[in-house]
Amino acid sequence: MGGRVAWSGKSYGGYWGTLSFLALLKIGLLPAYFLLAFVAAFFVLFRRGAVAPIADYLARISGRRVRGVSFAAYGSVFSFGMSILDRTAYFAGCGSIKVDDESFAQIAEARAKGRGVLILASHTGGWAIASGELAAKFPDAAVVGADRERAEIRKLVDSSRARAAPETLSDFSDGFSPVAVYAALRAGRIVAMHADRDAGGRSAKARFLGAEVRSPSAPYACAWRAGAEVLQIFCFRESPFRYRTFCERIDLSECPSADGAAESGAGQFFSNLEKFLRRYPRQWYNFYDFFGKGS
Amino acid sequence: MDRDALVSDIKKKLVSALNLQGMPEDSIGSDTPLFGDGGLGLDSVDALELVVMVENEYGVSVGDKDAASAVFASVNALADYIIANRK
Repeated sequence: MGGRVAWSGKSYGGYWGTLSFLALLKIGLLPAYFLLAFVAAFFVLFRRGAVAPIADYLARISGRRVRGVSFAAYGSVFSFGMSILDRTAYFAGCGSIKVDDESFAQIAEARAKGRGVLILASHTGGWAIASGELAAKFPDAAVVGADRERAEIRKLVDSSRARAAPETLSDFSDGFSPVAVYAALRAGRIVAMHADRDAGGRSAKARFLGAEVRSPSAPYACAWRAGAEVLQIFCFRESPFRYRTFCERIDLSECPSADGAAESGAGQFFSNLEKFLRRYPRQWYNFYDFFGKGS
Repeated sequence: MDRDALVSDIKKKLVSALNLQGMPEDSIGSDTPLFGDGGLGLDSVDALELVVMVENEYGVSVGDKDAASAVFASVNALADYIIANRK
């Protein structure tokens, strides 16, 4: 692996592009998918810098050389666009997005033990849709995450929202987010966050698709200290308009320390992630230099 | 425990809880910032460990992240918080 990897948190789409898709969604998802076919082609042909990391990921998951300008890369970009459109339609209450749930019973079961539950997610499939389902089934669940999207785009998307998203507990704007997470977990709450992106703080190493990657240490340290259950949730698109959630337990019970919990947790997290990505290879949406080749 | 003893005790426990090997507790200034540049340079996981240490050793909770930035500004600030909140 190269050096630490940066992530800007901003989408590639502009204000007018977002507005166009929102307008099309009022007609339905299929017209929006139709327009997306051309947008995805433009992206693959003319945003070579952004496509290179996709090709790198696809080469790792398939074990074959993948060119930036290729049907494989196009498929990934189109899949990513679909996930954004589906998410927007889902939260706007339009379209016909369905979610088959295979994880929420496990969340309820974990919660019944009387401890907090830490839910770890990744930037794959329909993770935002999973957060909406979580908010609907567990209204006191909270998320931790940084929204670095441009203000005008965030405002535009929020204006179309009809379905509640979970409460945001903290946004990583300072170094004290773990304090809030730990307090919430100790109080028996459900807290969800992403754990696949190294945001630059203390992190734990893990192996993923043949490379050494890093996962933030704080989530695992919080869970270990709070004695919380840790569940890794996935939400993948099985077919157009239909998603399915999956759950894997991350076991930190044998870890001797917070740093040990982070190492063990990160290893289990990326192992689970790789297993599911081999099943849904096009639904990986970390479209930046994730593996650090450009660092 | 009077305030001076508490400040000294906090420094000792801080070194132990955060595994600050090689850092004598006497070298930690009572007003030295614990986080950020120009201080001990602790990180977010250290903040969590401090919360746990203060809970376990002094029976005082720090559950609010906004409060935490003030409580953990320095050893003196932490001592003031413990004195004000311990039962």
